[in-house]
Amino acid sequence: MAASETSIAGNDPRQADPVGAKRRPAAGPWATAFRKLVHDKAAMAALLVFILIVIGCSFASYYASHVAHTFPFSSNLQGKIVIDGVEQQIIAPSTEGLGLGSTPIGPTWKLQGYFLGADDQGRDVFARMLYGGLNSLWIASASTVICLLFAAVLGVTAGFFGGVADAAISRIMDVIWAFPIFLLAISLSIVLINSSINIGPIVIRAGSLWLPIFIIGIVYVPYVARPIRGQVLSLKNSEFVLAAVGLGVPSHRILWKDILPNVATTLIVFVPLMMALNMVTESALSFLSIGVQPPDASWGTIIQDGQNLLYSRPMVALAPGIAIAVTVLTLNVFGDGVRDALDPRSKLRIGGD
Amino acid sequence: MIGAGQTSPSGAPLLRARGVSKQFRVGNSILPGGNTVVHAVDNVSLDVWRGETLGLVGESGCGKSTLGRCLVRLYEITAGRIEFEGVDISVAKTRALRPIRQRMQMVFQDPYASLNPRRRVADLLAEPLKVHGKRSRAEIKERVAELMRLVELQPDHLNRFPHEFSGGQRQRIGIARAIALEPSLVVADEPVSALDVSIQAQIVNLFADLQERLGLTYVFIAHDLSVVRQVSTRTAVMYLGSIVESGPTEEIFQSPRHPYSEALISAVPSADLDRTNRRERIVLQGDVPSPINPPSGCRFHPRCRYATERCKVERPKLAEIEPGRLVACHHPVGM
Repeated sequence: MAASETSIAGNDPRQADPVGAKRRPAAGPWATAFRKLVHDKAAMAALLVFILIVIGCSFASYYASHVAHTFPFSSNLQGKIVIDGVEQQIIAPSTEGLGLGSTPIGPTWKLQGYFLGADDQGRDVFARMLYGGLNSLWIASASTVICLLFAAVLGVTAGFFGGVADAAISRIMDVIWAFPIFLLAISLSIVLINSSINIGPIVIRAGSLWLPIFIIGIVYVPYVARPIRGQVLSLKNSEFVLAAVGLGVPSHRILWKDILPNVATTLIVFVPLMMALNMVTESALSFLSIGVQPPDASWGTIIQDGQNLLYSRPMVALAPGIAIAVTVLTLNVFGDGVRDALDPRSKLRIGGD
Repeated sequence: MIGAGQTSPSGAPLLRARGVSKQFRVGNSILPGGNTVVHAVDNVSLDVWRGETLGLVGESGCGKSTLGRCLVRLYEITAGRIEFEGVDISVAKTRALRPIRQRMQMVFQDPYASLNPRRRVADLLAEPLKVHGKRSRAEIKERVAELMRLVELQPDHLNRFPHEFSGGQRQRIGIARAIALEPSLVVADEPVSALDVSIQAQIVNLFADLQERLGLTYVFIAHDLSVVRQVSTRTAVMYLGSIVESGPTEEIFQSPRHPYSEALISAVPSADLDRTNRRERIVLQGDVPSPINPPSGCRFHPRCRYATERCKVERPKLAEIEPGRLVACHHPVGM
């Protein structure tokens, strides 16, 4: 490629035309990356599955009220349902073993109700899955936005201005980094989950979804801010920034025109990867009852609901687990595609935790 | 030959550097003495006269690129003084420096790294024009088109991105950007060493052509001696951060006075088979010493075939041994 270009250029630079002058308008790096992403079959398939999951979950309230005619946030211990003309109890006394306790209804595989069965409160697991998916997706995306926002501001500030700002920000990041990420998230959640927080005009009520959103967003800030800082540092010493300095370009203009557009790609690459990571973290917190608070559902809380039913009704725990796995997988595959499209040389990876 | 007949020094030099040093700290220790210091440029004094091309040669790692960047104040110098057009630029504040920046520009070695990959050529070339002075949009557009013509690029390529050009074409863009503000001094940091040989000649010719048309003064940094011999009117040879010899290019190439220049020049392949005074090829022993811990006395003495006891102890000063020829050696060759 390079050899052919130079050999053409070697004859006469005015005639040299490695890409064709009038065949197409010059495609920018963004357009090129987008085209590459669209042609990435795996990434597009993953995106399609992810979009289907999002659309499916957004029908949660419609499904609950118009299809299954159930309200999946209150228990329904005495309820009955007619399946194939046979009336069944939603919570039936156990017939196996010692006959103690009760067993919720298993999957009916009928969308009219209890498609995936009921949990031990007699609530429709499938309807709860849809609601829970909405919460999980919302927390994952909102915390990603918060995380990237903080990380971008801190990373760019530290990298570009250096000196005291860099030292202060880097040390604070180190402190956060020093904690195992889940341990930090769990500790913060335990401390904060039952009390409301007032930060100036912002009031976060106890049990609000904003609590896990902020906690998850904040604990991952160093994981994004560090690579951003590093990239800004290397950009700052790159020849094209040096060239801009030599031209007398003011530093705010260098930041705006030369540094940020190049950092933006890194941030974009982080979006799907962080969403996947945040979703896993949210599930973990919710599973430990310190994320989404009842009666709200998330995939993590449904797994917890199904924990006691693991032997009799495994579907209750299995279904949200599969949902998490599939969603995270699609986000990771799509994220890989985005990364390849934006910068094939980049070896950007989020460190294991 | 570039700029022939313009060598006669008249009045003050365009650029005057005195005792310029640049040290880099390696490591991040806060303890005193905990850091190693790299003496990249060590006590360099040189003059650049209006209209000339000063070639700066030396092995890689000898500090010539660092010196070039110091000369246009892309790096803050550690010691010394640099005057450009009579103004001391080594102490000028950023704001005071901005009008001076218009008058001195730099062309970088790597045409791939020196252009922001996310900006179109029109945008890259318009940047200096937007930053300096008040030009209307139409004026900028006109000037950018003119620059494209000056560096022999097609004006309809303006909407392209750098990655769509070959190395030589990119270097033309870099040159166009450097001359956009009509500077008087252009420091070219190995502008052709990243290019194919066939394209090197084109870019060298472009430099010559622009110098003639725009009356530019060049500091031309290179490690390729044949390129320097072709473009420069005067040459300075650098070794381990210091200038060891400077003088008119042809004189240096015909009769180098410093043992290092002698060895360097003897390594250039000669096409002149009939030459009666063909020199032997001098192969230097050993490697370039580390600029972190340079040798005592003359920096070159561990590799010099003429070295004496005096060279190990006393560092020779750069002295004028013939009119216009400065050599830093106790035992200049052929004297």
